[in-house]
Amino acid sequence: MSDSEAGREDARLIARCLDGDRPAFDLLVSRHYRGVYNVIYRMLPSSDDAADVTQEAFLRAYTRLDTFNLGRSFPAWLRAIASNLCIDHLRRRRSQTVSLDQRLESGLEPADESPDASPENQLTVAEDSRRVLAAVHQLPEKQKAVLVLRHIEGMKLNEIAEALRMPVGTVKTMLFRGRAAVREMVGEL
Amino acid sequence: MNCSRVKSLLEEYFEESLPEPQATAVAAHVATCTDCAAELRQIERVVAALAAVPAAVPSEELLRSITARAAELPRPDRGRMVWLRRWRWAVVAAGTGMAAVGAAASAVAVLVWLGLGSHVPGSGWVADAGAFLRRWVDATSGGMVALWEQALEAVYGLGLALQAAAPTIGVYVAAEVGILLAIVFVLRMGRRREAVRPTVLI
Repeated sequence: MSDSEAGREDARLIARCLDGDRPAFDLLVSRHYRGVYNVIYRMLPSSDDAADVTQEAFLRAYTRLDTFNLGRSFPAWLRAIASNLCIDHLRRRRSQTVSLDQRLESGLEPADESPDASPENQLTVAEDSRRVLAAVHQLPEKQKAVLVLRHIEGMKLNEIAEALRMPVGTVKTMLFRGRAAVREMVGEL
Repeated sequence: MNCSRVKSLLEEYFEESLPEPQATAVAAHVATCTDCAAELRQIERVVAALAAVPAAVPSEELLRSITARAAELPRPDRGRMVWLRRWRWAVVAAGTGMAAVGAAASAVAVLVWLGLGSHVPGSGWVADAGAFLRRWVDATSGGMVALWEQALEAVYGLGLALQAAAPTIGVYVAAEVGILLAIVFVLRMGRRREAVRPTVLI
């Protein structure tokens, strides 16, 4: 299904949902929950937290569905809700968050549990991704959100600015500082 | 352009947001400087590594959990009230203002009606009721009669002016609409807050 077809299908489901057809929302969730979960999971290294925040993002979207502008992208709207919830969550949990380094030191699984992250494949792209993502998790909340949305979700700078409600110039500054900090942390790739 | 200056511009150069004269200068420098070229490659590798982060797979249980929780919430409806939420404070202010105007108009109308009994010749239940109230006021106010006279004269004049400026029925309708909007808005916002509060999971 092309992006425009997917967008039209989203619009149809939203219209049905606003007409009182609640199962239409279940279809919307089934179409987008993996994408929303991934945005959140890359900002929150705990899968339990990611699941909780994903649920909260969809419930918030449901209660505010009548405010959604049908001329816009529904996935982008969901990503904006998810990103802002992640930032709020990270702020609340800042003092309690176990860093990825601590998780690794304590023997817990890292965020990326793909088979390519095994010691045998340390020089692979997957290993580079794991190291870079671990560094991203150490960044301040908004820098982390900007890097994830820009380079993992592939959003444009103006889309990120709209989603995080900040000027494009601020997004650029956070992106550059975040990338520089990640390069500093991971060293040579 | 020296290495220090180029390195400070590399992030913006990579993002292709550097103005053209500077972009060309940075490109020319990177083509001949192995140190700066290595730093640019490092930016490219970090971005490539992020783009290659594998997708995580959420559990089916998460999908079931979301839809089950959504089923407990009030259904969203068409966005006919969106403008009301967007301009909620203006609506509340307008509603309150119109309600105040309505209350003032009501008070004036009662006093004018009271004054009609003694000041406007005529017949019918309005004049009779006004005359009765006027007699009651005269009997109970004693030394205050003169003051009541003046007050009623003033109120009567105000009422006539109000009636000349805008039909009283219009003021009432506007006031009722304002009060209704304010009540609907407050009830609806309250219901939404109640609906959203239990969904906070953290």
